[in-house]
Order: sequence, then C-alpha cells, then structure tokens
Amino acid sequence: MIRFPYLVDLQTGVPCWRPIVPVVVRASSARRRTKAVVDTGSNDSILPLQLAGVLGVQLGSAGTHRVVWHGQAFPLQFGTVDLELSDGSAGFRWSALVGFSPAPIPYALFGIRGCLQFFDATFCGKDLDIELTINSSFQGHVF
Amino acid sequence: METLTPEQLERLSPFERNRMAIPIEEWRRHVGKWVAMSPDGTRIVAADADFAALDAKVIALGEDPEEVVYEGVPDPDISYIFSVSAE
Repeated sequence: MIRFPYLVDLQTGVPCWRPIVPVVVRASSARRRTKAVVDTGSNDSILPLQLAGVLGVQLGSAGTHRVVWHGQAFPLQFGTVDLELSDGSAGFRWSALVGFSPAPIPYALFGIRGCLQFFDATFCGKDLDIELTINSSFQGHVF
Repeated sequence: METLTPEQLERLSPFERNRMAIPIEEWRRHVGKWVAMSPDGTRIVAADADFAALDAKVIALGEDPEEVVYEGVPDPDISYIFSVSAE
C-alpha cells in the first residue's frame, strides 16, 4: 500500500484540499514529473496533449473520442506510457493506455481506465489521505 | 487565509513544505499556466501556458527537465469539478 496526504492549494489564497499524487510519466527514454488528481468520476486517465509530444508518445488517431471539460468537448487521443507512483517508502510502476487532450485541465487526471482499475483506493476524509493498494488486475512492478 | 496545522505540515513531503513557502503573489502571477518547480520545491523555475514551451524554457535555462516538477496553477476563483467523461 502507498499513502499520500491530500495536497492543498493554499498559495492561491483558497485552501482547497485535493487527492493529488506525484507521478512520473515515462515513454521512450524520457520522463517527466507532474501531479495528478485521483478522480473516481473520470472514465479515463487524462494527461496534457503536449506532454505526449515532449515524451515522444505514439498517439492513436483522434477519431471520435472527445473529453468533456467544463461543458466543452476537446479532442482525445490515446497512447501508452509508463506511470510511476511512490510515497517514498514504496511504489508502483505500470504501463497504461491513457488519453491526451488539449483541454485546459490544471492537473493530470487519474481516472478509472489506466489507473484506478488497478488499485483499491481509500479516500480518508478525516485524515485527508488517499491509500492505494494494488488489486489482482495490476500487472506492473512493485518497488 | 486559512493556515495549515503543524500536524498537517509535518505530513507533507519536504518538496511540498518548501512549495508552501512561495508567496501567494508569485503563484497568482501564474494562474492558468503550467509551472516547472525546482526538484526541492523552493522555487518556480519557469512558467508558460503552453506545456511544450515550458519544457523548452526549462531546458534553455539549463535545468534538468526530468527532475523538475510540472504542475498547473488552478484559478482560485473557479470551483473545479474534475471528473471528465470520454465520448
């Protein structure tokens, strides 16, 4: 199990706690570090489209897939990356098909497909923690 | 502005604790943009609304793009509903 405290956007003047986790996104031989909101209401895991270009991710065609963000539809293209989560004492790394979108979402989103499908997640509202435990569908690496 | 309790601060990573010390005014300059944070969280290395342009800035500044942390700066006047659906 790995456990992350919720993070707070205190600096903007609005103390807003969110279940945000630090993530390493890898593709080809490159990696970037960013943060993701763990979102049980999102169908897919979504990353910024331009991150795909930076990492050299091979994307599928846009097709008819769209992501709806604040009432507006944005194109969505899928590609495979390695995702890595670690709380400093343990971590998980797995390969996932994730969506890349130009939608102006200020965080990566970890939704059901690509992330939460592989974990049993507990949102600890009193302690403001999220706990992630791999389930039997997880086929990545534990370290 | 609400502040964190010592217990809450203690549970955050050193990166997050350092990040909290960056002044509000500095964050407000970057609302709606992506920022690249130094690996220890003490400073904003660069900012841009365009993720790829930000990555190029980081490299041009001689920082390691694989060690900085990229994050968006949410608009404090927006209550975010993050859930998205794919059509």
